[in-house]
Parts: sequence; structure tokens; C-alpha cells
Amino acid sequence: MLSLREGRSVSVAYETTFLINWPQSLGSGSVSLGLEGAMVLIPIMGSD
Amino acid sequence: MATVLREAAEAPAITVDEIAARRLVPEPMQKVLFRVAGLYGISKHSVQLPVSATESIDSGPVSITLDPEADQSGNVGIVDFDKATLRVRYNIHAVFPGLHELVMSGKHDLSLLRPVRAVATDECRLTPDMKGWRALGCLDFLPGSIWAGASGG
Repeated sequence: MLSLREGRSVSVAYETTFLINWPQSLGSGSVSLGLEGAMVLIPIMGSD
Repeated sequence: MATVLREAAEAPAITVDEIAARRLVPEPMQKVLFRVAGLYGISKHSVQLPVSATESIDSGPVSITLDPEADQSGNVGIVDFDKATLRVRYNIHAVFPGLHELVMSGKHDLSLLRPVRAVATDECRLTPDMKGWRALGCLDFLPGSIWAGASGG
């Protein structure tokens, strides 16, 4: 992440869990979906 | 005082090139606006997903990427290094192998294979080493897929 402060792009690990709630037409209820991967971030502008 | 100035003029401690090089070193910034230029995510486990009020399928290994149909200017975030916080919004495009199997079984319409699109918004706290973050986010499925209207976080 510190690369962003210096104006450089960075690849970071991506790990998230989404708790998805279904509408009534799909029987309501919910499910947890865990995902792992990577995200590439490119700085656009910065300020102090 | 005059002697000191004369000595400095005769033997400068630095060169013009060194000063120019210093100007090229970027100042560390406390807040940075960024674009999400790439994303992939894979689920390690299959989950049960509904296809109607009474039927469900195994998702298979779900994979996501940035949504190629979405406006790429919508994949943006801002990080505040002073507060160690980050907010990011990005459009995702998900592939569910279970849907493909379902359609290939011939029992459901091909329209189920429309891309599943959603928007994720994460409020995050940077880890102490500044190498990642922990997020509390929201997810909203967009119209056009079987799961339109679903949401969560």
C-alpha cells in the first residue's frame, strides 16, 4: 500500500466474504461467499 | 560571516544535478485517490444458491473479475494513511459454473447464463504493516441476472 503514497501502482491480496441476502422471489435467506485473489491499484492523485 | 560565504562559494557541498535529483523525488502523500485497475477472486468452496423460491444449485468454484461492461471510472477508492482507512467501490462480474451445468441439463432457459454483475463498496481499515486491509462492505446485484435484487455485505 505504501507504494501508492509514492505514486506507484501496487498489487494487493484480496480476501473477502460477502453475506448475500436473497429477495423473497428467491426464497429469502442468505449465504456467505468467500473469495480470495488479488487487486491492482493505480494512484490517480494525492494530497498532503 | 563574509569569510564563511566566500568559502561556501569556493567549495560548494552540493551540485546543481543533486538539487535537480532531489526535486524529482516524490513527496509522500497522506491521502491518495486510486483506480482499481485489476481484480480477480476465486472461491474455494461451493455454496448453495437459489434459482427459484424452492430450488437451489451448487455454485461450483465462483470466480470474479472487474466488470468489463461497467464504466471503469466507477472502480475507484481513496486511502487515508494518517487515519489508516480506505474506501473503495468496484464493479464485479461473476461466473458461476453451477449455472452452466444447470442450463446444460436442459431444464432451464439459456437466459440464466447472462453475466452476473454487482457493485461492491468496502469501508476498510489498513493493517498495521500497511500491506492490506480488513473490509466491511456492501454488495448489490445489478439488474439483468437471475440474482438481480439480491444484496448484502
